[in-house]
Amino acid sequence: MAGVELLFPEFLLATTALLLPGTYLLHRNAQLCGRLAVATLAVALGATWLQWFGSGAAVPATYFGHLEINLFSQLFKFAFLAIALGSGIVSLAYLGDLPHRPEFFTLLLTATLGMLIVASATDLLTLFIGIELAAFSSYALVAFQKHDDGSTEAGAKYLLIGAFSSALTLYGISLLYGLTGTLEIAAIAANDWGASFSGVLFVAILFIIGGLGFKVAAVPFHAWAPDVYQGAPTPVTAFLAAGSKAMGFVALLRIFVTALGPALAEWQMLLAIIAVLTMTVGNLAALRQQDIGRMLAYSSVAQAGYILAAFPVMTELALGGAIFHILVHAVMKGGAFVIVAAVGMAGLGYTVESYRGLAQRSPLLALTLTVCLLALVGIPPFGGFFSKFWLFYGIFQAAMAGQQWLLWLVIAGVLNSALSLFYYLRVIRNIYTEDSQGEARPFGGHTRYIALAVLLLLTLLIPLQYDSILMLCREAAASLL
Amino acid sequence: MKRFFALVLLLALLPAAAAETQTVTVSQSGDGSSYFFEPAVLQVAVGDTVIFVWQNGSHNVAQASDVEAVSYESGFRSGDPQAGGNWTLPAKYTAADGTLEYLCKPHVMMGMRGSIIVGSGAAPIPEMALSFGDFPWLSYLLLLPLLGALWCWGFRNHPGAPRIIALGTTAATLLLSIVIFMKAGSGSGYRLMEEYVWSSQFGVSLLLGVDGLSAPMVLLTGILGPLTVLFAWEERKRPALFFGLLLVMQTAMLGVFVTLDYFVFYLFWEVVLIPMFFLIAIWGGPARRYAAYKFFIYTFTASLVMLVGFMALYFESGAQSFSMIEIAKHSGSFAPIFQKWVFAALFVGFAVKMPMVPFHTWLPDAHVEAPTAGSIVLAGIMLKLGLYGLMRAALAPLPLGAEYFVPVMVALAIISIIYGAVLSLAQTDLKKLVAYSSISHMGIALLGVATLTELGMAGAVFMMFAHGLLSPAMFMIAGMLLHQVGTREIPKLGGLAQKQPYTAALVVIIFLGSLGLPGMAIFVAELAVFIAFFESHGYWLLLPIFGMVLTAGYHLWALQRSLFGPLSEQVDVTKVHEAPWYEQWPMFTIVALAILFGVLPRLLMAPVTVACYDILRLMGVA
Repeated sequence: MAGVELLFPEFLLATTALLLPGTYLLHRNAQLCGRLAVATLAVALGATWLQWFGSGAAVPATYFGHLEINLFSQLFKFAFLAIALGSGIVSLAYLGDLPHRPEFFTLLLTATLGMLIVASATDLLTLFIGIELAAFSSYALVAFQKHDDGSTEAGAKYLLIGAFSSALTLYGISLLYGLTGTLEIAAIAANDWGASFSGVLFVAILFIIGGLGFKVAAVPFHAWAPDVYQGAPTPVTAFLAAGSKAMGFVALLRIFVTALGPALAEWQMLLAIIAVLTMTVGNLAALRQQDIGRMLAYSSVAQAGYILAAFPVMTELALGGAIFHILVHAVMKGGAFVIVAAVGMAGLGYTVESYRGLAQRSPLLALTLTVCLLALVGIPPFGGFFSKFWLFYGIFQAAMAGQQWLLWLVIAGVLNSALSLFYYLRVIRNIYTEDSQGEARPFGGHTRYIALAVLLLLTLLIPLQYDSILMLCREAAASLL
Repeated sequence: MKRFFALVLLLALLPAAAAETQTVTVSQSGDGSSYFFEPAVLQVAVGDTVIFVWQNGSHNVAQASDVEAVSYESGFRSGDPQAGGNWTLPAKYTAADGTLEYLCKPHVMMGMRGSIIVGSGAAPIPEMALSFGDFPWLSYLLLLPLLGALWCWGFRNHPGAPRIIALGTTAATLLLSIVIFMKAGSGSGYRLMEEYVWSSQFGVSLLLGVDGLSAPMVLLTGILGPLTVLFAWEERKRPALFFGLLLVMQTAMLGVFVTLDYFVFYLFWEVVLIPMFFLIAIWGGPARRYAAYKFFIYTFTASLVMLVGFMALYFESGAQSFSMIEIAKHSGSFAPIFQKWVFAALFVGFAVKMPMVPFHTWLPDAHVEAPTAGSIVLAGIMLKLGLYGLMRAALAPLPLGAEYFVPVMVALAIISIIYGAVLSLAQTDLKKLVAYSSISHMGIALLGVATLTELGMAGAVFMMFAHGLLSPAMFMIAGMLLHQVGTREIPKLGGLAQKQPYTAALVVIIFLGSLGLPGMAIFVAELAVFIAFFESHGYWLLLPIFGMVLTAGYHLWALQRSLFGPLSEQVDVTKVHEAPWYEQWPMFTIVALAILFGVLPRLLMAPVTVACYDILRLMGVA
């Protein structure tokens, strides 16, 4: 089979995930297992990078009509592996000497494997299996601190709502199968829907939005996010907020843009309304949060709204901007949660007030968190500005070019950006203007490196190289359309 | 029958289709009492041929730059004066819409001039002269303070080092800005240009350049840099961060002034907010958090509206470039309704920054709470960003929008002048008084821009510069009083001149300069704006003049109550003494500069006038 080497990261992850429990039984060394998992993720990341850039543009390679490795999937495979690596490194220190760490890392690997499958799935069943693999692993990850009430409660909530949403998705997929007689995305896209409104198709779309809207925490399916983000171990929260959310968007892009693109009229207005609702409700709810995890969760809801706004537009630029924003959002939100984890580990707490005087405790963490938050608002010159600008410009362009009602999406997005400044500034103000009550605390070495990497990404790499990154994202978007 | 109509149609269309030959007679009356071109105003279609035929006397035909020019500078010319014969105008001059002015060199004083209107007569967009420098002066200008900021941060554990580094960096920046001001000169077009492509797919590039509009602002930023650092010499609270932020801010403001690309302009525009937010929030007064919040959110929201305007300009021009020069070239294709909306969006962003009533409420809070150095930068440079942006980014591409909004701008300007002055009159806090007086002064500058004349706009830029010098001096006075007396409440002060005669002399000169004393810079600006406004709007001028009366009132009243009279007993005046060197010298420098530019306004007026003329040319007004 040609191009089988492109699946090396997937095979590597699967093998290590199977070997990890055995290794633990032989050596009884949990730390070793954790390091092995992190090393595996690093190797897989390196391999993806080499395959991507070493072989020029990735040759589209298909496997039995279920998986296809192309530019789009390579881009997201790279992102998922990087996110998993980051949260793996933080977990090494964060988990301390809790029991069952080998299982934690095994689950981290299988969750990542599920995401990789979603990134390259070309039929709905494979897509669904990937989502489920990632979801089941993360249910257990969320509830990992089993003696902590918050963590177990979050795990239970996540499991119940997750199972419900999976059922919805599956039902939607089955309706689509009934309508078209195929599960292959390309074949569904080739289906002629005709000009008239199809009630069954609309119901199928509703179910799929309900199911996947849960993954990306779109309003009104967002209620789980604050509880889970608050309760889960923070590295897992980072993994969910950055990785799982991006996976949801990959699935949404595959299904709506590629498979149901020709039936745009059925879902365009629906997604536009959901997008505006999501960003507005997310920002309004975030205004009043005292817990930083909940605040970031609601901000994550709002960001999902910005990204969803690109769907009804269906132009290459808007979708490219959305993909760019998905990736940058993973960096910003992941980075923010890594620092939240570090502050929590240092015993400072998880409320907005815990960040008083962080600048004196650790200038680097303070600066990185500030940059992440300002980037989330979309203030230049940080990375978030560029992705958000081109995302909104893509929508604006489509609005000026004909579909004038899309202008409302831009206006809503701009107003929401201004609104979101409020609650981010609250944290930033605490970091810099208040004096810390306690003494300096040690922050883990790993966290500092990740913080530095995030800082460099957001202030230097993304701003300076945004042209080429956005070009990649646009090509990826073009491969979807 | 059909054929007949076709023939008629053909005959009717024939003149339009074929290029015609038109004749202009070049002549004088036999007794030499009148000299003329016949017809004096010739209307031709695009592509027509124009032949000049000599009849009587010795003349020539030479292009003039406008209807008032009396000499030939460049363009077409028939040669030396000749008697008899004829001459054909080269075809390239009638190839596009436009108006050609010409004259006869020997007899121009006798009114021998004419014009040819080609096509619709709309003047083509003038080409701006672009000159790329051989040395990247502007990049160094932007990099230098940034490096200084990093350097300060490197010395964060040495409390004494950052201020010295900051002083050195700002002094070097001052030298660079003087060099740039000199090199920019007073010619038309952009100088010292540099271009670094950032995004080739969207046409974003770091396009730098200065002209007569930005060079004075660069100079102002350069001058205020070391003065700010000196005035904050005794800052003890986290000095590394403080001076680092001041330097970052300097880079950002210089960036706004020298960039010619909308995308990068917005970038620098927003970057200015971040250090300012921290300066207010960390080193500010008691209500600093509220003030910093209000400042950030107010200006950020307005800038977002402006950003949507930039998106619209970029999209509508179709130039696939964010370059201001490129987009201005497409202004002819923007529909009037589009221009109105986009101008409104940009104006919101700029008016909040200026700030104009009713968008001004963030300013008094920010000023009162900001540390003195922050106030200096805020009043001295940041308020100028709004007007600068209006002139640089909004006028040239949106001439019809600007004309439509002239009444609005005039109204807002006059309201700001009077309302700002009235509010100043009512203040007891000296710093708040100065803050409101800034609103009043920036109103005068907006009034100048709203005249859309060369003189008015030049006056506005002059006001930006002059106010940029004197209003920081006013804030320095407020800061100094707070240091020494512990309060800025004017009613509690009194008789301070007895304790500090030299400083009081400086204070008096600064106050008089700020109220518009002839011989100092603000007077020149006010005079220019008022003359231009009188020419364009007539006796409406009485309203801003009334504002000037109030201005004189609150300045003199505050001066009299705080410095003169019996020594105050409400506050502890035992510690009042002459201001220390690091406070006196900045004030003295500013007084000296204000007098210099007040006595020799030409230093600044020459480049500014040319730049304003360029903008008006781009707008098609001049």
